[in-house]
Amino acid sequence: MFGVKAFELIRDLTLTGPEALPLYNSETVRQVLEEMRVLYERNQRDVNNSVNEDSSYLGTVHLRHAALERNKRCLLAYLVNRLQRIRDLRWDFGSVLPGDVAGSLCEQEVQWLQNYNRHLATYMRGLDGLDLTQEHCPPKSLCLEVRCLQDYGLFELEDGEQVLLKKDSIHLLPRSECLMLIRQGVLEHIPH
Amino acid sequence: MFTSIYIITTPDIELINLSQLLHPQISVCCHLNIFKMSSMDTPSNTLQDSDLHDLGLSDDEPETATSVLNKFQTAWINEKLSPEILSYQGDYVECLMEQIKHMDNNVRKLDKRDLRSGLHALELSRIKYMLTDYLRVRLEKIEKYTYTILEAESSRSGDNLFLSEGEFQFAKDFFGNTQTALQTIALRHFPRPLASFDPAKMSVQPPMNSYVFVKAKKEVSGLIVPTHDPEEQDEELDLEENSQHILPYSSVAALVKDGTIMLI
Amino acid sequence: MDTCEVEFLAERELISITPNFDLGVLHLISGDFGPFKAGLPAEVPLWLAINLRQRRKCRIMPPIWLNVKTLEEIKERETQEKLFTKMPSEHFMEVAQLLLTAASEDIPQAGEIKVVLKDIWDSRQAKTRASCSLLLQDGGKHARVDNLTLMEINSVRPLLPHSMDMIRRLQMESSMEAQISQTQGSSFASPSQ
Repeated sequence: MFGVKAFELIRDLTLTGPEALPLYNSETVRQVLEEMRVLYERNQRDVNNSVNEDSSYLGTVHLRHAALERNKRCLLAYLVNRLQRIRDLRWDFGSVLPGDVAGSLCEQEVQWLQNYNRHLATYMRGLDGLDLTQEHCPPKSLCLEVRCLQDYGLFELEDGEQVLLKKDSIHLLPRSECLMLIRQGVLEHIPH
Repeated sequence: MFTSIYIITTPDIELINLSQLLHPQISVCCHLNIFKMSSMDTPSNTLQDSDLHDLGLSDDEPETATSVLNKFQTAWINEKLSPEILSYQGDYVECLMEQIKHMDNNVRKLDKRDLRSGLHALELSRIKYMLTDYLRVRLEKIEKYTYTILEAESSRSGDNLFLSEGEFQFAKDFFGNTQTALQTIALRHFPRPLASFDPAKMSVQPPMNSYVFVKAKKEVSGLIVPTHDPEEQDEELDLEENSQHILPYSSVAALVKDGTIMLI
Repeated sequence: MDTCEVEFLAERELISITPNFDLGVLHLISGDFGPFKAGLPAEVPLWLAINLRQRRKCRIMPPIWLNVKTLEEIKERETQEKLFTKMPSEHFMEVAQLLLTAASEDIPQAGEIKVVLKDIWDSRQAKTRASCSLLLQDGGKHARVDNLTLMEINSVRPLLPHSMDMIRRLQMESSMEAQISQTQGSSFASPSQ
């Protein structure tokens, strides 16, 4: 049946939920492109054969064309939605994605992300030091009480003071400096 | 199933003529000294009249850092709640950034044990949050509606531009980058007649008819709320000052932009 | 909007504190506050009050409506009236909640207050639900929502706007279908003429 493979790509995305990024499905993408090539060739052949106003091919040609359009639509939806998720992950984790996530990207997506990072950095340079990727929630206080979830080692604060982040140790750290570590899963905020 | 696919489809994938978008950007007002800086030890942070005149910020009352902050807060909330991108409030952003920088310097000079230091720092982080969130919400819209926004921007000129210079550049970069990715992964492998797109069909449009909550800052009479049922007539509404309503955004879009109505 | 952002806006409401320190006028970007004299009341934004309270630098004076008697009256009125009554502050619930969390020792009968507050909230939420479903059943295109506080508006977002949007789309589709069937009707009719 036409369009089944393309639909698999969409299902891939919907099965994982909107935040997760499933492994790039290069094999299915290849199969979709192959199906499109075959459909197109057959259509061309039928159109070439029906020069003498024979319209018996017309229905088949229309059907194949609809399948082509659908494949195209599904494939592009797959790609654009993946880019959207990669973008969201970049905002969550910072410019370097954690290993297991990074492994789900295809080469061109990696390239896209690098460019995205560069464009975002260019934009933010014009903002006089405002970092848009920090502060996702309204600030309640200047310091946060945090628990360390792993042995991270020495962490230097803006004022030069050094803190040893050991697993299960508890610290009161300046909010702006520990937000990224919280998002990376090094620290955990202890709400009051 | 078909509908759900349509919803997650509609990417910004149409090639558009970017050269037509490359019109000269008017530089966003960049007066760095619009305020007599409200130092922590000077009693007043009122602007000088002459500065105001230059900036075109002047209403009837003198503009203070506080009134700029209040106006910016309204602009921020409007931007957060409006389906489309609104015009960039460059003057307010520049003002507040200058205030922050100045205040930051002063706070650094204070003894850390000084009671004021923590209070100023907390206020600064609150204002920074508003600023970053404002800019972030705008970037999200730019990424989502890239084509529509670039198209609309190319039809504007002079002081009617909606994007800052940086946002405009970012929009073009983002568009090109996504375009390239789709081109290399998919488009160039498509049978040739399928490798082209109709931008009007494929790009995502902001949902202008979506419903929003509004508060009328002034009285509005004869507001038209369109109906989509041909049997019914469009409704006409009067909004009293300070009354609150839920309405389709499209019916109040112009009033949000001119400040008669605010989104809540 | 996130609930924390609704709170963020509420934190700009002014509130009275009794400081236990002396300090001259505080020139914030959001305005001038003080001077502060130990034992003398001063008015400051809520975020500042809470910060000082956490550092034990002041006592918070609850707003005049944050007491059992006034709240009972509000509750009484809310249950009697069919429409939403006007709350004493646009950020009524947020302010109350923030204060009860950060400074419950400064508020007499904090426990009872929480109970009445919840009753008021519940009875208003019930009204909200009832009026939402009424509006949707009528296929309304707009509604006046006076006296709803920001927190309450936020509690029906995005459900109510989305539902109204969906109804609008369905209406549009059905009117389009009606048009199509009309034009088809006339084209079927034409050959016989």
